[in-house]
Amino acid sequence: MKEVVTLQFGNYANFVGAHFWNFQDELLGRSESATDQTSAEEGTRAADVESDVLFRVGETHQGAATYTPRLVALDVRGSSGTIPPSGVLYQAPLPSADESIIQTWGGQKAVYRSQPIEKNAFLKSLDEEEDGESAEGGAHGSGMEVDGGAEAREADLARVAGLEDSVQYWTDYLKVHLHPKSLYELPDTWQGMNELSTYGEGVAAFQKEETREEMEERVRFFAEESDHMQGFQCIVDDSGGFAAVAAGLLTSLSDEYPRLPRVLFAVRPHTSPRPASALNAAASANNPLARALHEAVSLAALSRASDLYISDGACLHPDLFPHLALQPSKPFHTSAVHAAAFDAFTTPYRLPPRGASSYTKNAEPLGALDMRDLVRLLARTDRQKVTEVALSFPAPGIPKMPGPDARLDRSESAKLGEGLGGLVRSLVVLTDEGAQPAAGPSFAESLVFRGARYADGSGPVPPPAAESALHASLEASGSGRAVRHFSVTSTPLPIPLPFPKIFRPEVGRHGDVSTGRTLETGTVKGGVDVESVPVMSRLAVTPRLAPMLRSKLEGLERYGGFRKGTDGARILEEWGFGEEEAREMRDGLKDMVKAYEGVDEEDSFDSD
Amino acid sequence: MAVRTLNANAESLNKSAALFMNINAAKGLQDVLKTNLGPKGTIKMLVGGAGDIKLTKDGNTLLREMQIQNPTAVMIARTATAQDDVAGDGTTSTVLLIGELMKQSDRFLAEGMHPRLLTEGFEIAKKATLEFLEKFKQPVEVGDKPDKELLKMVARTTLRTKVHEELADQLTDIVVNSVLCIRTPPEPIDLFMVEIMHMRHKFGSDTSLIEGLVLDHGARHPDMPKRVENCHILTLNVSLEYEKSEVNAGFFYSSAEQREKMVAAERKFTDDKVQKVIELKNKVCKEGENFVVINQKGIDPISLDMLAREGIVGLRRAKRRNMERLVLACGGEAVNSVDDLSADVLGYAGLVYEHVLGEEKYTFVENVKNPHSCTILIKGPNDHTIAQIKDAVRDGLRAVKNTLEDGAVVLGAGAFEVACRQHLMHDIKKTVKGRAQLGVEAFADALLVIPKTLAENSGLDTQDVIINLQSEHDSGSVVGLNIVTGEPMDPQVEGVFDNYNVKKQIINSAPVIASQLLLVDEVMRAGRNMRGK
Repeated sequence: MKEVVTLQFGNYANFVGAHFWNFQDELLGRSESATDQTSAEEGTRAADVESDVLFRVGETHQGAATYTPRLVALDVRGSSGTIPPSGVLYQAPLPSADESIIQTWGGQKAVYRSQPIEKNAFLKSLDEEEDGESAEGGAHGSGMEVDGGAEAREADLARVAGLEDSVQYWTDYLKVHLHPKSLYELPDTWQGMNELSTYGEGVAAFQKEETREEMEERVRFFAEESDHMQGFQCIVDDSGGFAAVAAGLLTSLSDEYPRLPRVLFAVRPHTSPRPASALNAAASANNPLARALHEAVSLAALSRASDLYISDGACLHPDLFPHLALQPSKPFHTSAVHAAAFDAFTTPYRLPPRGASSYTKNAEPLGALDMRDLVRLLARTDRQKVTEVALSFPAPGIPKMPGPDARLDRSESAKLGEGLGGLVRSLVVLTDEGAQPAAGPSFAESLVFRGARYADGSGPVPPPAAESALHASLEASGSGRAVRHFSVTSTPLPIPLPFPKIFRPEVGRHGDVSTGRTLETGTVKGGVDVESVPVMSRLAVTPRLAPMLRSKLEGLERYGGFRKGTDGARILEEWGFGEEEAREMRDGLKDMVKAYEGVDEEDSFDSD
Repeated sequence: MAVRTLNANAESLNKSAALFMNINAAKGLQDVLKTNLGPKGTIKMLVGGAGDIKLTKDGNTLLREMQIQNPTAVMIARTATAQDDVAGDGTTSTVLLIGELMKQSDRFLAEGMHPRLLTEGFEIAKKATLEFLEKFKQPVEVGDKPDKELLKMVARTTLRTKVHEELADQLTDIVVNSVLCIRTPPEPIDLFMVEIMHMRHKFGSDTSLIEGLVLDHGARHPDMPKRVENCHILTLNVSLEYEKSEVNAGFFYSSAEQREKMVAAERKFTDDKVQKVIELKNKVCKEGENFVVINQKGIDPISLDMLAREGIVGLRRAKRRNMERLVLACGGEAVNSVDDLSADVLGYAGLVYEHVLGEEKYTFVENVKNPHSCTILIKGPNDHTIAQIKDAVRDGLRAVKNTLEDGAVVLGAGAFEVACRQHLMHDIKKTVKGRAQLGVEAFADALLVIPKTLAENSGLDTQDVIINLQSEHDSGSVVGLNIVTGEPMDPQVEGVFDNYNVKKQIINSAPVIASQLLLVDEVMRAGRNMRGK
């Protein structure tokens, strides 16, 4: 096991992160109760994905054992809802009277109370469960008691009923406890007032000694206790100032931890979660000039500060995934899809290395790869770090392969080919506008298949069979050449109870999609009715990214105004980029575009 | 209106409405911060929406906790917090003075006076006040043997406004001693060389000064000794972790055997570095001496194991700043390559031991010779108590540093403000021509907000107090307010001193902001600028 430290930058990144940690917590809960459950047969064995990679063992002052994410999450103040920023796990018990809370002052005292934020039904039920748990020393996961029949289902439905419309903070559905060092709300920010909405504000925030040191210290806390750290994985909301904070912190981490790779997942909210107030409607942040510069600058800065830059800026319109009913206006919904992608593509470095544990034949996960190797596989040069991500969610079933001796007639084999090709074709590209074709050649790809199931509903597919189906599918779908790595595990994506209701009625309890049959006219399903789903993801460093990169370069060239006195130059200056740096950035982007367009450097050394 | 055509969202207010808004905002902010001032002020407990608690008696902290939306108030708050950045204290006073300048002006504006005349008077008064401050300040001996008693009085004056008396007096010695410890004239004082460490502690609070360093981590090997004496300290910045080389990615091997070989060769590279540390230990350690490695980079379990077998204590991933502090505390120098290892780079500490508290580990590096770095260890029962003591300690350190850098102090307890007010009224006002006189008067009266607020917070009758103080001054004695009795007292005797540069900053910035607020023609509420600052 090699430790990974997770970093989350910005409010929307924390929305994504909250879903991600819920997946991990769910997996953990199920693996703990798996021994006495029949669910092992159903393909939910959890041991495949090692939670110790992401979690740490600790102890409170009261001596209670804790298991919390190795996480540093950055956000604006006032964004953590009903959870105080230092969490509740390590809280010191407080005297009940306000008077005795204050021990440092003998004189007059005044108490100012903010309106308490009411916990929703789900969080309340978590609290109750915990109180009960300490009495009976019970299990971890909360979604596993589902099987108890209609009554239990009703109870679960009641627990999550309010979430769809009430989620306001990412802590509203988070079911893991955070370590006190995990959540850092940047000083002098405030949700709804000063949210670091522009790159320049992020630069200014990071330049504050106090802020920077606190962030570095928190990362150091988790790194110091790790014996064999393999790297950092980061979720960054790159739509505003947190892009600058991330670029700053990751750059300083590369000095301190020179050998550790930094995998960066850039996400962005699809709509502003709150209507902009008059004060907040920063005209300048919305104007095309500032927007274009932000796009170019954040891409350039973040790709430079990381070792792999996974770009996910898709506008998740409702029809993008055929079996999902997404409401793009809800961050609660959209962030769940990004989290599913993040969970899938980070699987390779969370699998146990081959031969590490005892597995029955054909059950062993395939394709474990540590983070550094994954980065090297994909980003083969410094200019090819930008990576496309595609997701199939839920992944379609695999057609049963005929035995080696079976003879197929023409229609049967065409049908098989169709079914296989559909596997890869089901991948939806999340990068940029998601409009490009998903197929075609790539420089390098990493494919992950979790919890594959047979199309005929006959249950899980063993990893070796799933891998060969994937190979066959690539062939059948006419995907071009690429260096490819496959990671396959029988562990599907576990769907936790507070998962949003985004599955269309045809999605079954284990993620089987019943097509052909008439669809239930029933309602959309969430964590109560869907227990797990198969997912497939693909990271690709590919020429398909060239147009997106080029458009950002062109934005910088058009507005950057490499002459003093232009608006563009002034803005860049305010963001901390002088003329020299701006040129450097442009040249970096140019090189990047060339690397993706496949143009040889020799052909164009006379540029500008 | 160019701005309005550019930004449809911009709202605007006309001149008199704008002025009215500015005055009200300044008064409003003053009302919030007023009760903070002085040793009899009110502590504020802020309870967040999630039940999180913040305690503060410090204007700066309070302003940063408040969600201020009024643009005028935001501007005043920024000036006041900038005051704290520059001088380390005086936020509350700045806000009070701005508020009072606006209040005093309001009186004259109501009579139809033009703001321009007032601000001219402010400018004259400000200049005169700064000149008066130069004469009023008292020099302090800051050479090789600084006046420690006086430093303590300055620190105590500020600390007693932040925490209760008993705690303030305990912190006073600590902050003075720590600043004197890290001070190496003629170098400027770098307060970062005072590490502030905290521990949660069930029973009450207790703060102490450690001459040496406290690190917030421990050795990560079960066999390493928990307590060692007579220690050579090696301050290292070299990775002692196994590192795969660049060409060694998993999928380039032709055989498992080849991979094994490669891995072994790379492991040896790391082992050799550890071996060099061990060799140095064997060279320098005599009977009864020990060896401690404190590394900024990582040390992996195999390397820890090698060190432990030699009885060496190894700490990994020390914070960057502690590398500097360690060298200042223990001597020696930080080493960036194992090739530079020699007896000369080693520091010394008489005692190194580990303290465990739940999952937290602390390593104390103590009994050092002639330290120029030290640690203030704050123990408190909960986070908000610790945070408040920490804020107080920071302010105390700044007060001592300021005194040493200024080479001067100013008599406190309102003495300066009353003296200066009398000076402005009696000596300056008459030298000013025309109605700008009234600006001087407004400024002079505004200064009294400090003694008035001190009196008010102590439950005294402000008018009586001010009259008493003024007549004492007129009869030639410089007095401040005794907040217990309400009688005039001699701050010199009572040991109440303020920082010179804090006062100077306040006088410099408050009238400038007040003038801007008075001269405003129109208020435009538009989007923030690109930087948002």
